[in-house]
Amino acid sequence: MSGNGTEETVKDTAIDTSLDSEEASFGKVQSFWSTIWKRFRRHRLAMIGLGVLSVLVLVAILAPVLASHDPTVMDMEVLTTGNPPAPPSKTHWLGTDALGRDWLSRAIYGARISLSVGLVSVGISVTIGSVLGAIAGYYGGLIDNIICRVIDVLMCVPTFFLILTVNAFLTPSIYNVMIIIGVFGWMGTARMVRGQILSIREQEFVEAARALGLPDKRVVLRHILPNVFAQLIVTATMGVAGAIMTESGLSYLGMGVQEPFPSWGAMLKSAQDYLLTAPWLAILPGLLISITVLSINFVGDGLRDAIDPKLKR
Amino acid sequence: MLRFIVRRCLVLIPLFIGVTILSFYIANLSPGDPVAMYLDPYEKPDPEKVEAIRRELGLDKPVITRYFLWLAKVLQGDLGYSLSSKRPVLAEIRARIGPSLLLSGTSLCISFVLGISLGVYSAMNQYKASDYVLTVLSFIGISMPTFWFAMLLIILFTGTLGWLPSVGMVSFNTPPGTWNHIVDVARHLVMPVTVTTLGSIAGWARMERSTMLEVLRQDYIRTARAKGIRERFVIFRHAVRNAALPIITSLGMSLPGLIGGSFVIESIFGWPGMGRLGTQAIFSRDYPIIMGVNIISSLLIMLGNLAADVTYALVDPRIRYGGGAEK
Repeated sequence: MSGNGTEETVKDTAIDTSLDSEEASFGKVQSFWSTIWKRFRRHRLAMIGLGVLSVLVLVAILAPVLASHDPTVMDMEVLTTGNPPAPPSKTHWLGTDALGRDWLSRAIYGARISLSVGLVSVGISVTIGSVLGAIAGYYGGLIDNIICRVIDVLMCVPTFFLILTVNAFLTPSIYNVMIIIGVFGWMGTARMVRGQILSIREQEFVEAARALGLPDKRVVLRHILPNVFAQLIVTATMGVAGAIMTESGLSYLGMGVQEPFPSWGAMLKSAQDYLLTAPWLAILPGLLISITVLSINFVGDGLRDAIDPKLKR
Repeated sequence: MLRFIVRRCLVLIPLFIGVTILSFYIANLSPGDPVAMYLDPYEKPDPEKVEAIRRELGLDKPVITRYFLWLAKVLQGDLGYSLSSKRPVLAEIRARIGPSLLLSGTSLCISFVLGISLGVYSAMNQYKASDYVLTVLSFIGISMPTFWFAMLLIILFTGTLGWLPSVGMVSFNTPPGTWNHIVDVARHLVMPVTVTTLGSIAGWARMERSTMLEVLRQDYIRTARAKGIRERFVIFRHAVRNAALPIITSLGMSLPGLIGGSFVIESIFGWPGMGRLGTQAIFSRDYPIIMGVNIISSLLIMLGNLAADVTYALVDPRIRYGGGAEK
């Protein structure tokens, strides 16, 4: 972050505004998504975030190729020669955990778990949220009232504690973690969708669609929801970051992804016991969580700016 | 104003009922027969005895009846007895609520003041190097898991440097009321407060920055500048006050996160607060405590939101006289 970099950002925004006005003056027809992509590309941090995320996704997919060890296999040699956890060495670049499992390999496989928990649980919460939000916003009246009150109640309960509680009652597994995080995370999406739909509902094209006699389902799905889609993507992106955080918190408390499977949060939990004797263990998993969440937040921010240039600052 | 407050309070009633239904339902969802906890596991269960306990616990009645019986007790302030310590839930929570409020209150104050100042500073220096650095730093602050930051602090300050204690709220040998006691508690507070503050400073700063930028574009700011008022007055008299409105709402909205975050932080630092009580109760399946912690923290959040709304109405007359306080 040198002074040079900042100057360039200032220049960037200058170019950006000129480009916007160019678009307006030439009146060139551009699709909605290509405009967004064009604006998104100018957001430097978002592009960096996107790059880092792509690498992380690749690492997750290629985990079996990249990892030098099986993440769940214990290295008996390390266990017998040194006091666990073993410090970094030639065979184990970042050492092993107390059970002699290669730390770097566990972290690589952990990317799979953390990213998939984030994606799946947000898939669930966005689906629930947009369906309920759409119903509430489009129909209004009693059903809207009921949905809003449910949201209100869930919003004033400490959600993390709720997730923790429900998780403790179920058999701990990665799938349950995904479902629970999703089921308790839809309120924000629902509120957003409801609000958007309330304002879109009143516009002429919706009236036209209704006047054509289209069934409600079609009006909502084909004419209203596509207008919310851009906003929904921003919410979902930020949601993935939140879900990854929640998962790591759960696993850190021992209520999330269970042994022997490595998730970054669970790795931090096992590092916790050796904070003062093997502090290096704590660094990698936490760094990976931070980098992932940071990149997702950058991408989300860039998307928001790209989708709604009025908000651009 | 009074009417507004009364109306706002009435809204809390269905909300509270919703919270109790949720807590009750979730506790009922729990696997295992609660009767098992009252039986000697090494004896063959005597069906007559099981039936007696079942009747005593009210488990022979339908769920809805049980809910109302339980709700009636809750409304009288009877949250039952902890399964592990056998003490009343309310007494357990009362003992823990002070430390929790001390921790979250301190960090809320610090993060609010620092975050708002940084946000104003950032907005005044938009697109300068310092703004850019602050923006990136606050993104990092938001993205770091608090418990990881806590671990790093423990490694540094307890492990390497040995400056600060990492567990508990007070050392054993300090009698309460003395100067040493206060210093000791403060020393124990440093790390948990730093950790909880970090993420929220970043949040506040980002929010204050964007609301300030929005306000600074308004016509009345231009008018104020055109009148030749000094920039300092424009910022602090005209802009900051108007930017305060959305911040007040988010002050209320930040409470669930503050209380939710305490569950992890209090566990790491062994802080004797409500969050730790809650997580321990989850591990030992102590349902009365879980329900109690859930209800009491929801109640705190509701009251916080109420306070935020009332403050909002005090600050912004449009809400007070606008009739419907619809969001």
